[in-house]
Amino acid sequence: MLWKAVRAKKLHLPRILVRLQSSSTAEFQELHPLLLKRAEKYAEELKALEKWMAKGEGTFDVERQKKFSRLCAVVDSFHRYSREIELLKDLQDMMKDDPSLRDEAQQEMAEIRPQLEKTSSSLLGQLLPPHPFADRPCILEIRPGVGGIEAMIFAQDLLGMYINYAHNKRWKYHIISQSANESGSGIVDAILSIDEPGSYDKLRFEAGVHRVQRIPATETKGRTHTSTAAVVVLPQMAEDNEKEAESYERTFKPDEIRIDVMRARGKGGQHVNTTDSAVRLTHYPSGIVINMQNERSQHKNKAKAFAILRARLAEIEQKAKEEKARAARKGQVSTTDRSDKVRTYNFPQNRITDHRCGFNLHDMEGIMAGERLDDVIDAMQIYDSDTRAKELLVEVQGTA
Amino acid sequence: MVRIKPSVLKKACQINPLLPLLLPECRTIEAAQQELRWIQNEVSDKKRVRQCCMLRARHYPLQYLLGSQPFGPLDVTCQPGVLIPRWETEEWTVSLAEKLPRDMAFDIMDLCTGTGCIPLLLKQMCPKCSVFAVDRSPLAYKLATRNSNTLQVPLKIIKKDILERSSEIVPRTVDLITCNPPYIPRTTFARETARSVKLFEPKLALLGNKEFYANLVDCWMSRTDAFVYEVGDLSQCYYVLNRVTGDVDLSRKWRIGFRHDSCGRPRIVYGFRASGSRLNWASILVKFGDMKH
Repeated sequence: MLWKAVRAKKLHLPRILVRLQSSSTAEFQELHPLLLKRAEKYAEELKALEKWMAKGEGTFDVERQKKFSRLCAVVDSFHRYSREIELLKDLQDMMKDDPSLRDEAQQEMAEIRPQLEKTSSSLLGQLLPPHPFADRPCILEIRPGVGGIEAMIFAQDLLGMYINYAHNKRWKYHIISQSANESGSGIVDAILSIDEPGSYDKLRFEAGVHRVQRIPATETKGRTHTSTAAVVVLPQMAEDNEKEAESYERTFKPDEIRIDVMRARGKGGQHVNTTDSAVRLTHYPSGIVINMQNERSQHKNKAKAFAILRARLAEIEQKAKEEKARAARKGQVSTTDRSDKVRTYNFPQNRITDHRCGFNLHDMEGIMAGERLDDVIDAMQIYDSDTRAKELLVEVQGTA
Repeated sequence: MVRIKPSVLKKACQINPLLPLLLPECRTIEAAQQELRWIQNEVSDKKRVRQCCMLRARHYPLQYLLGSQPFGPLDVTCQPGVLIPRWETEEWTVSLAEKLPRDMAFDIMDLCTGTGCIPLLLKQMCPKCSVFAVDRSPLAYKLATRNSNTLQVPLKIIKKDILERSSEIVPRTVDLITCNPPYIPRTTFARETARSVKLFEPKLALLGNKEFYANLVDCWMSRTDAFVYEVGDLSQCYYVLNRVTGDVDLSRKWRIGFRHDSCGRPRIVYGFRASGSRLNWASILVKFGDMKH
């Protein structure tokens, strides 16, 4: 019932007001005991890990360090939360025991409440299960949308932005394939691989249609145009490891897959020495077609095509899973669906707007240089964990 | 060969003045752009890039310019005087290497090895095997040795003529023989061979017809349990098949199959002993091609 009320309010009020309102009128909603139990489990895990590390056994392990830092953050929030909630309870008791202190206690409660709200929501965010592919490296596919050559130029700008972003983060990246527009400016498509584990978690919100509003270089009359480019973000499932790629290749039935190579006339073999090594991979069940020609060896082009097929299939599967879970919940939440326009780059106003979380940034140069992309990504991450936290809460309350 | 239209040349020139030089070999602008990118990746000096493009315009092979050709996971060094590995060869070698048992030790011999690409890849994928490579050309012998050293894939390389002196080659018997013999008949060489190949690749590695397949049946089939030979056309496949089916003893002992490349052209004739071999070749080579006998 409470949730229906909140959702109804949400329609009329910006989110931040809803939160303030709910905290000032209703009793403070404590985190569900089930969630707290989960936090306690993390605390225990941290203790065990600390003990193990204090012993100094084993070698330095990046994975373990990462886990340690994550646990630390969760447990830290949890402790802060328990401290604050205890303070709140003390104040409440005080109010009951001694009516003379009522006014003071109430004032203090009003003071700590917003802080508590914040702590509780951040703890909730940390308690959320991480995305199944959060620790993966990622592949970005960029294609121009509507807008002709201007869209192709914008697609190239976006590619530059992600390359700069990876550069700033000191992440390793490489361009898997890129085909330039024949007349010389812009790209027809590009596939960028970012090899840093965990980059998928950062960049997955980039998926969708990016819109640009500016006076294109191709425009002679000085009119502002609106063009789009589409970005697809895929988790990288396989290492660039030959063996693994081969074994993956074998998991397909022969009739699901078709591999086309360059067909030349003549006898082939020793008769010709072709350098054309293009490969086209078709996956019938999903209708995915991948062209790959950047490598000099057909074998390598094939392996790359399979890596991309694998990433796409994994993404489709994940999307289907999310869709199913959402349908089961029957809650229509605003999604990060890639069919929607996700962001607008307005050059005349020097403004970037993310349409999902309503975040505005006025620094076009910083964004395109990849320096301030993190601001937008962080805003999206907070928005996403917020939404998911609410979903989780509903779920936990539903089961309890 | 169809001429390149002046309009295409002009268009290529507008994109990059070097592209028209690459068009005679690449035929399309996209392919030429791709090739220019490869050259620019390997060669940093602008003057040298231009030189490479000029040589390409005269049909000089790209692999000799860049000095290497990828072959499966390996990067095989290429030099003038030794045949450049073809994608068809890469395709069947990778497919064969995937079928071979990894945990068994057995002997493989590659004849007419050239750069050594086939034995290098087989040894790389099946490190427990002993792999021999034979070639009569001193240039090929040197290059195969160099490739074996730089790629750190140990091979036993033998410099011998397999047609004249096959009896001197040790070991006497092996489990598998692979071979990419010269298979372009002298009569069709001028007509059916690409200009780049005709002008710049060694005739020793190209010109040949049935003699290597006759040599296979006469000298090598008694010394091995299985063989995989590359072919240029179907008549060479049928030559081996007919020789085997025509001989009562061989016909009883051997099974023969053909394999096509992914362009649908006959590319391989292979065979194995039906019984009495150390490895079960019938199961290893299942689905490698179509059995004919």
